[in-house]
Amino acid sequence: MSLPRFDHLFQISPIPSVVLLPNAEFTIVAANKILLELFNSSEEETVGKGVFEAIAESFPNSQEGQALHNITILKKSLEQVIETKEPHKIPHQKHLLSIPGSSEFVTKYIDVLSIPVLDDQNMVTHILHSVDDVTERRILEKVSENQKQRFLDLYEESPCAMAVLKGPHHIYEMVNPLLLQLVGKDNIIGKSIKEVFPKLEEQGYFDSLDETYETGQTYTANEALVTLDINENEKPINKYLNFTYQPYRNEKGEVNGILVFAVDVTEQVTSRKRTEESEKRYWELMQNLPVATYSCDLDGRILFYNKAATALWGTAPKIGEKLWCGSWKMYDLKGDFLSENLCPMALSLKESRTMSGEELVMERPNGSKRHVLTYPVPFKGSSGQVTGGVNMLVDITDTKTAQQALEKSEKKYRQIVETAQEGILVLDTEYNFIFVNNKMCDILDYSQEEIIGKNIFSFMDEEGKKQAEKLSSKQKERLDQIEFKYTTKTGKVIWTRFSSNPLFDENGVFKGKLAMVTDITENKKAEEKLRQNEKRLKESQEIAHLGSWDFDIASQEARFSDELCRIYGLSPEENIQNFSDWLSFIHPEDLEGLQAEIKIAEETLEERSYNHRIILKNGSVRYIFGKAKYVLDDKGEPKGIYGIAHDVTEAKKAEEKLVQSEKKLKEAQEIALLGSWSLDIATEKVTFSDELCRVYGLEPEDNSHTISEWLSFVHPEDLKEVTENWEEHKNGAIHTHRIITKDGSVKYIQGKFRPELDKQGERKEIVGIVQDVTESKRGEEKLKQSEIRLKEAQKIAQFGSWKFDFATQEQIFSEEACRIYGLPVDQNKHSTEFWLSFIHPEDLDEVKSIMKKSEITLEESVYNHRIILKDGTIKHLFAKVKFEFDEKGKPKGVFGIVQDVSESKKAEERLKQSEIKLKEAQEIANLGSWEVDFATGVSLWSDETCRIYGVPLEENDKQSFEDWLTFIHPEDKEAVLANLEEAQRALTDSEINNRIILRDGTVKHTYSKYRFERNHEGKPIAMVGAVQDVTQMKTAERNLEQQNKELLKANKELDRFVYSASHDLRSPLASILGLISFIEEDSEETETLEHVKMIKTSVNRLDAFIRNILSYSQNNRTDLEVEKIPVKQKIEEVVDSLRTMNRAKGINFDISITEEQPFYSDTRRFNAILENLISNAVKYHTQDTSGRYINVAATSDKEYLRLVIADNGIGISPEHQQKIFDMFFRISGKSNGSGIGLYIVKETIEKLKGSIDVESKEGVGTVFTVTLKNLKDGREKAA
Amino acid sequence: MEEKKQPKFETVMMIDDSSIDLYITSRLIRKNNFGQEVLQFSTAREALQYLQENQKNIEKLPKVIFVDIYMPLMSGFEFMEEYDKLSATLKNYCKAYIISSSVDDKEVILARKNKNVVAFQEKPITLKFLEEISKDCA
Repeated sequence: MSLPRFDHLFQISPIPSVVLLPNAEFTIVAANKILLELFNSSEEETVGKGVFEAIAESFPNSQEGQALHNITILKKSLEQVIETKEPHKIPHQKHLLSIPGSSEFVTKYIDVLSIPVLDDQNMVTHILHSVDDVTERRILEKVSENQKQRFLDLYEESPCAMAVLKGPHHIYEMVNPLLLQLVGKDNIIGKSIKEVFPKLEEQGYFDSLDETYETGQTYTANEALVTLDINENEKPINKYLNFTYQPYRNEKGEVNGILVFAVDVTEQVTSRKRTEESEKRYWELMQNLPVATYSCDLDGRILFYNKAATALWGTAPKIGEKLWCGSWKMYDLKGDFLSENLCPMALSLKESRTMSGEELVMERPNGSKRHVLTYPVPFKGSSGQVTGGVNMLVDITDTKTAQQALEKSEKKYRQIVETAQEGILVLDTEYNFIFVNNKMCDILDYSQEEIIGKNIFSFMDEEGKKQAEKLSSKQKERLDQIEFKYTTKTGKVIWTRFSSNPLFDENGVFKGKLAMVTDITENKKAEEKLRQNEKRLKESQEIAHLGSWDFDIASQEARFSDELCRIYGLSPEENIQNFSDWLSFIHPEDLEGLQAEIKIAEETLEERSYNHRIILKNGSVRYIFGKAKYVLDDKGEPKGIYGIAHDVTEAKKAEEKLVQSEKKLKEAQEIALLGSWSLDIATEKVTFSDELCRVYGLEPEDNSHTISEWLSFVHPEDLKEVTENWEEHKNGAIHTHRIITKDGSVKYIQGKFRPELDKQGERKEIVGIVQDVTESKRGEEKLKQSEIRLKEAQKIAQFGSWKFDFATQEQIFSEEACRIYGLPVDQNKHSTEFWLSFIHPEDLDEVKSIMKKSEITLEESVYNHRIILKDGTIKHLFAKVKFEFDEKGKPKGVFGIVQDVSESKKAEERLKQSEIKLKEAQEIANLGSWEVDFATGVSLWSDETCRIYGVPLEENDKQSFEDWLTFIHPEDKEAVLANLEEAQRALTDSEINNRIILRDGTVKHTYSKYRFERNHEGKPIAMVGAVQDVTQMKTAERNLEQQNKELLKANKELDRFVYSASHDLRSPLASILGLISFIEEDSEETETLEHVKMIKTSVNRLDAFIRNILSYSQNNRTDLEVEKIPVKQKIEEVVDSLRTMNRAKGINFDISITEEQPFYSDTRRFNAILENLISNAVKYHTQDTSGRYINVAATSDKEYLRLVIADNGIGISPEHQQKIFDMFFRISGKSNGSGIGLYIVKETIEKLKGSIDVESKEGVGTVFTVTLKNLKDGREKAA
Repeated sequence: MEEKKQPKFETVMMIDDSSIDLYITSRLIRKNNFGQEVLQFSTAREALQYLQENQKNIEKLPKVIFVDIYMPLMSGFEFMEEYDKLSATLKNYCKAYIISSSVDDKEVILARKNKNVVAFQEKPITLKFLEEISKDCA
């Protein structure tokens, strides 16, 4: 639906047109070709002019009047257009068009039409102004006027309706038949048009008539809707007419009538309107089409899209901007991004082909994706060229999702079907298999291929078929649980339960069956067996004495059989009992249950069985097992009940007894944790009692085991013993072993078993009882463990024990006790005498007295004593002895523990020694100690303290706190008191430096350290401290400080002096050098020049020395300025500057630098080091040898720069090597060095946190190795 | 050997308390045709006064100024402080050099930091140095 552009349309329009601005001049802004042709004008001449000006110009000069007339009318028309915003037309305007280059002109008749162009605000922005050249027509009219006669002849046959209206009232003068036909009237001649068509007046046509009559201008109406009132009584007719009013002139040229031409175009108009309508509807339709639809031009610009497209894209792209597709993003089905110019629409238009159903994914700006089918159709123009296209987008996302869901569910369904444990099959209408699942194949024992397509009956024998055919009439019904018989491939009969559902297609036509089949062959067999059993039971019941009864519902009477009478303790004559009589026999406790049972039977009419007791007339109780069954009449109504009853009293009683005894046994076993088992020799099965199951951690049901299963519980370590024991003692034995229960815990069991013999004396069964003895075993084990642990503990603590038994008069030593006494471990039983023989003679009396005392008090006693071992070793022992009593409270023995405390005794001894040493040390160190007991107020000073304070040693306990204070130097007293106060609060040691004044006036400096001792409440109870005479130290210290200060000052002054001296020294030197250069320049005397040169050398030397001194002082005065140093560049610079020295001639310099890491240091100092070392190497090089070299090598890493400067110069003798770094040290008087260079180097290197080493051999050469710290991280600031 | 060449600079100013140095430098300048006229001042104050009086009179201003550091009353740096207060015309025209027998880095740095100082030169002034200046000013 590509829409042609306006300007294009305008240009190619066959109607001469201009576009005007709605301003006062109505400026022409555009003119199309045909207009320019018509007016013999060019675009340049026309565009930009006011329309009136242009019109005036197109008229010949002589015809100004007509031009003015036309302009007036046009102006009115244009103003009307602007005002009404409606098109306006000026028909048949006479235009006199001048012929360029002459005064001639042609007369043109034009229809002038002005159409307003409105903007959104409904303002006129432009006026489309067209002029339709109707001259030809006009000329024709003229001709026809002139040939009126011929017209009159002709008009009868004219294809259009014609009439001549005369005079100002428009009286019909002539009409042709067609007109009469058109208006549907005759006899209108002589009548005014107003009379004939009164309705026309309100439609405005008479105004046009009047106008034509007055102005002589032709009026043309196209497709004018005219309502004609043909008959007063009839409904007016609407007609579309093309008509023209032409003035009819007399010979003088005056208008005296109007010629009307009218063509009925109703049909054409109506049909066109219909088309238009349908087109509009078509657009409407497009807009509301539920399918996303859009159109593009050939360049892909989107020209149109409908609401559905907006919805699909989730966006409304701008018309004419977005290309090929309005979707935000597109992807192909692989998920790859699809660019717009590759989308189906683009391809379709580019390749000029219709595409259908290309699928792609469109993404909306909100990120949601849609699956879309595309249907692009290219549109072709009349020449067959593609001009654009339309694309329809079908959103299949939901379908797709549904499809996927369906596929998923189908898959799931298939899975279910395939793995189902039921046979599933689908049959067609002819009962041929169209689907079977695996299970069905299994049931029939055929493969799927063998089954599909076969008829279901072919898998049945005759009987099965017959049964199945019965059901075929129920084709369209649901079958439930029908038993079907099949024959398998191997001929086996399979019974199945068959449920089916009919299947219908959409039209409700039966199309087959879906069935589920369960193999019930096994059930069938079981049923068969049961039936057999029942039959046998019945027979056996007959044989047994069973009572039976008949109950007649009508008479409400039961008739007992003889046997039943006997059971009920009735005589055979009493065989008729009514219902209530019978109930009176029932045991009250069973009555309710039985009645309930009867009620169920009444409701279901089924056979019921029941157990109940009866009480006979003699009071004895009997157990009855009974069964009752309704007997139905022909109509299926119950008419009576038939029952049997069996006296099961004996059996019941036996049963009960058994239950009771078993219960008791079980209880007994449980209480004793006693399990039992029995082994059946024949079956080799062991049966466990409940309690045994519990012991083994098994469920009570899990009580039967094979022998090997049984043995598998035995603890592996005990298995051998158990099996041996079993083999050895087949006739019964006692056993203890461990088992591992089902839950993995270990248990100790103790058991006993014995064989049961049959009559032949063969073992038929072995029975055993078992007891869980884990707890007691565990206790034993624990005891053992604790004994071991005690032993270990004794060993570790060198802690022995002994026991003395009064009864046996024996003393038993523990292992450790033996060890303490130096006895073998096995020699642990002794008499008291033997023990006493160990005791140190000095301690023997004490030990004996303590023993005696304790024998009386029977209390625990503690004593220290020494023993002498056999090898003479003396041991210090600590012992504790306690009496042990029997149940009656009488002492039965003594228990003692004994510990070897020799080591701690020794330590004590050492402590004593060290205290003595301390005292000595205090004396030597002038260190005194003291203590003050606050409770007693007594101070105790050590000898040295007395000596420090100049107090006689005897007065060491006579100094009170107040006394002490008098010693303190008055200037320090305040500080001391404050310190004491602080110390009283502090928990740590306090210290103070203060002066004291002795009685003789001597002043001493002391250093004291002390602390307060506190009781448990934290209250100070004493003060202990040490005092040192530091007088000498103090004096020395003060002297040192003073010296330092002076030294520092001297240094500073010296530094300042060096600096200013060197400066003042250099100044005149500079002058001298300046003057020398003049002499060098001016003088030509050889000798003078020679002398001057010598002066210059001396001055230079002096200058160098001063510079060195300056450099040294700078090194000391200035801080480091760390920066990155380009090592290689710096070395090369220094070498290059030194190369120019005279002495450097012929020396080969070799530089090799490896900068692994950037090196950071102080550039100036680094330079000074390099300059000094390398210039030294040059200066002290040999003069004569060839092959002289100086090698400079440097390697920098993260930590250091290693710089090696090696030469093969004169070298340094070993005795000088250590001195070369001293200030003013010079080796040779020959050289002109000052002896300060290497000193500065060393100082500087130290400042840069480095070191320097020298290796040299006289006459061989020297190697200086410098290591400088890499000061990269800036923290390494100047030292 | 001595061609009569156009001197490199019209006027050179020398400020040094050492009359020998004044002599040496002025002789060097004249001999090597570096300046038509050498204005010699033995105190910085006098030199400053001269500059102040002639700061609008370009013909009388020196193209190059050599100033010593160590001088009594007003040092070379003190002179530079006052110099900074002179007119921009003057400062744009004159090129000041600090000349010293000192090799103290602090002073070198101080000279380098001073925006009115073109360079620092160690005494004695040499021919080479003069050539460099003329090259810079050319």
